[in-house]
Amino acid sequence: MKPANSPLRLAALAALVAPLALACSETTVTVLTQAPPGRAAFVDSETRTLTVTRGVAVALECTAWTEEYSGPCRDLSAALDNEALATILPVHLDALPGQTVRSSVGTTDETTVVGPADRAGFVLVASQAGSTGMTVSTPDGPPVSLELVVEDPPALPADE
Amino acid sequence: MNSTPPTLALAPPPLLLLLALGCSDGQLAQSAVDAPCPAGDLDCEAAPTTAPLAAGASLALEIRPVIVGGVSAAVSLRSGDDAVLVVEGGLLRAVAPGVAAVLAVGDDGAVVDLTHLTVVKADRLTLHRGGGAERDERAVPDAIQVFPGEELSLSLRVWSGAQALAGDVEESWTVTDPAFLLVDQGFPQERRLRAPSAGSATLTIDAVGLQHTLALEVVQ
Repeated sequence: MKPANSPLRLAALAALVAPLALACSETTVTVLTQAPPGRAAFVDSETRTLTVTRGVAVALECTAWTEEYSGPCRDLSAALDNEALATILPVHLDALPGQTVRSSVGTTDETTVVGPADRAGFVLVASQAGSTGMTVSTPDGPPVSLELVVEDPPALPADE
Repeated sequence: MNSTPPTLALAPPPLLLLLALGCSDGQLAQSAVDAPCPAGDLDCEAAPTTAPLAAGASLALEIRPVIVGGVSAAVSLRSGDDAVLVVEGGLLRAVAPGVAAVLAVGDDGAVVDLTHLTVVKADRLTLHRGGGAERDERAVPDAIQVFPGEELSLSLRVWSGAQALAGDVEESWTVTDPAFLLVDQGFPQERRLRAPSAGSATLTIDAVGLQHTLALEVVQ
């Protein structure tokens, strides 16, 4: 079903988070940007599908959590089974205001480091209609697998 | 192994809050995306690009990275769909109706910010007295009378329905009587016209596949 362009849907698609939790680690991929009116860039959390209209770019962020680590996905990679459908580009994301790294209470070498943290993500530019598998991987957590669906844009009145 | 099933959660990304507050035009809130000021408009402050581009027009889009800490960053433009928009010599050229992402890419290949622009087919041209900040928003009718030797500054606007379109279009201005002096002073979509002491003529403007005419009559 194609969602309607309601404000609710726009807010939901822009904020949708698709985490995959396994054991004591978790990888989260977050859609950061929304599509212009009449176009798509959203995650369906039920079908684990990322739908993007051809010509649209969408930025996604990856974070990971384990018992030992919480922060941006290190050594992030995003891969498509069919690379003809979209281009994946690295992205600069402004640092978070602070990140704390500390050891467990009671250890002799307890340290606390507070400082800006890099953020990890990528931009996907949809270029050809079709569907393919997409995998976001990091050594910090389980891979996130999604189905990428690239839709053709609707015909504009000016096209006619 | 202590595994938990996949879970889903909703969380408003802080960047979107910044966008909602209008801190930046780029969708990652890391750049300001502005259209250029009209030529000759010295009081203009660059405005956000909200108007669609006319198919066939060019736009000198200004993207200013706004990185935390005021870090300077070199960026170049990249189109998300060359069938809609292409980047030529730093300018965006609207090829055909549609929507395309425009990416500001740093010299390390990383996207600093992105936006989307719409290209539409123009369906109407209007002529206006004056140009730049002095442009009269009222369209000149199809026929006007002028005094002998009167000088007019005229500017062209391109429309799709009720929307004025962005971008500089290639245009051709011709007048049937060369006694009506037509001067191109280098401002896009603007001309100056000086009427002779007597006579009448038709000014014809061709742009983006459309034509607009203005009948001129010198009255004593």
